[in-house]
Amino acid sequence: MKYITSTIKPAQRIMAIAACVTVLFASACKKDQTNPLGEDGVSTVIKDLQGDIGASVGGSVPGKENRPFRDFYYNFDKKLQITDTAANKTTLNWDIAFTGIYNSFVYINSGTNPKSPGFGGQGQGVIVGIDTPYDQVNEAPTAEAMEQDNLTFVGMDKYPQLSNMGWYFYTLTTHIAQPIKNRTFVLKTAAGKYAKLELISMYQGAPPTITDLNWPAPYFTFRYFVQQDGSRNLRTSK
Amino acid sequence: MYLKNIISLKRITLLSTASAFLLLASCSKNSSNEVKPVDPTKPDTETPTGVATGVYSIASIAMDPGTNGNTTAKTFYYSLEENKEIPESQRSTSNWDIAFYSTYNSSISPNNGTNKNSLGYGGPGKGGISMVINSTIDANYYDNAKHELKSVPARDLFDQAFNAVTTVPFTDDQLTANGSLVLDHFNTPDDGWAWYDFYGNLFPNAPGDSKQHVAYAMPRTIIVKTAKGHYAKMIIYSLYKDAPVDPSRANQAGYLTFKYAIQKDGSKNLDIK
Repeated sequence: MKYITSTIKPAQRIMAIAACVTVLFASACKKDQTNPLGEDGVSTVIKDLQGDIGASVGGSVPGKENRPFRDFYYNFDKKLQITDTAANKTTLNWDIAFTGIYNSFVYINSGTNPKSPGFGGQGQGVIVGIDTPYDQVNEAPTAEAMEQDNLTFVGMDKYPQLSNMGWYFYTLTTHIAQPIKNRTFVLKTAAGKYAKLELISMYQGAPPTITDLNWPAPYFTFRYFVQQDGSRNLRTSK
Repeated sequence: MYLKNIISLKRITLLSTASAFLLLASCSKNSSNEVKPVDPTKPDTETPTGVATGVYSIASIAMDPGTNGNTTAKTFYYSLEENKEIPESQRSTSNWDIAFYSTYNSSISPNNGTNKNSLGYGGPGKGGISMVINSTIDANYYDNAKHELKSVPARDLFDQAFNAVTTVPFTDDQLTANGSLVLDHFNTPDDGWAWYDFYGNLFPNAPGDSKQHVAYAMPRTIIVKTAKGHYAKMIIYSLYKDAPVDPSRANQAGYLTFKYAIQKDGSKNLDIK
């Protein structure tokens, strides 16, 4: 030990440390590029958007009430969360609604779909599920195909109907929701623009696995891309 | 139009009966040398299969005992035609008529080969499903504005609802359009056959979580078109072992107690005693 330290000159030591740091840094950068939460320079990534954390899903949790979760809306372009749902229900101010248990049933804003919270308004929302990684979804299906496969909402997978493609599996008694990997949702915004959406996590910090049912929730991490030119082009990777 | 429907339905029944007879005949070959020739032109009433027209009660049959509410609950298949459970291995046959799947086995699928929301999708089933909401009976226990139970529905309401349905009030198209019957307004805007008290709101003063996550069957009569095309009505009393009227979390989920009436003459007459 003593021998080694004495043979490495101070300058060499600094070089070695610098090299180590560079290697670490490089690998860290590389990690970021393939990070599931990663920015691609085009998409909007929202981390830990706080839902209704005052509601309890069971048992007696201090600071939480046994009551239904309060819905909220979200506007893609403005990156805006709207909690006054009553005043905005049938407006174009929102694109998706976070409803139900854990705010985890995500509805589109459609004025003509009686199952949408926006029914009676002007919204043009439609949503379909695709089992392709977000980065590889380059084009939205045709308007007709989307209309035909419209899910109206995405929540628990295969609930309540088999065709309900959800964004997570859920066990009611353990209250652990496990997001489905490589599932991307293609939708039309309230204004009728094509977009893609990946719902990544409903737990604070979006940890890859959750075993603690008391982990702070719901906090939504998701990313999306809205094609502003009206086309079906959804390419976000280079 | 109406007549046409009836004729095509009869034809379907006839065909399926004929094929069932063929199957029976081939099965009995081994045990008996006297194989009677099959005459497919004979009316189906002469070769009845399964149970007779009548009312059948099933008490506390196990679907997925001890289910923890996982959305991947073990699917339970049942034949109303035969009044018995059917194994999963026969999913792609017309041997079953209803299947219970998803969380707490609460989604009820008919056996339909063309509806992608049916567990029989891709198979030979011609079944369908729907539900009768009787507003007079509903008024006793259900808050229609909030989509919530006002109280636990009394047991006699179930029999009232069941007896009040004397014919199939739906067209075949209406029956086959539905993929599955589901929980009532639980995260979805759908009317359902059972109400799931996720938060324990019906009993706010109950100790701990004893009344949270409890599913209450509702007195709404389910109409089933069987895989082979017969009509039936059913009422489900409970999803818990031994069918307690007022279940709690302590009761074991994954059991089914129900009553059904099946009409084997091909008609929509459900005034069956």
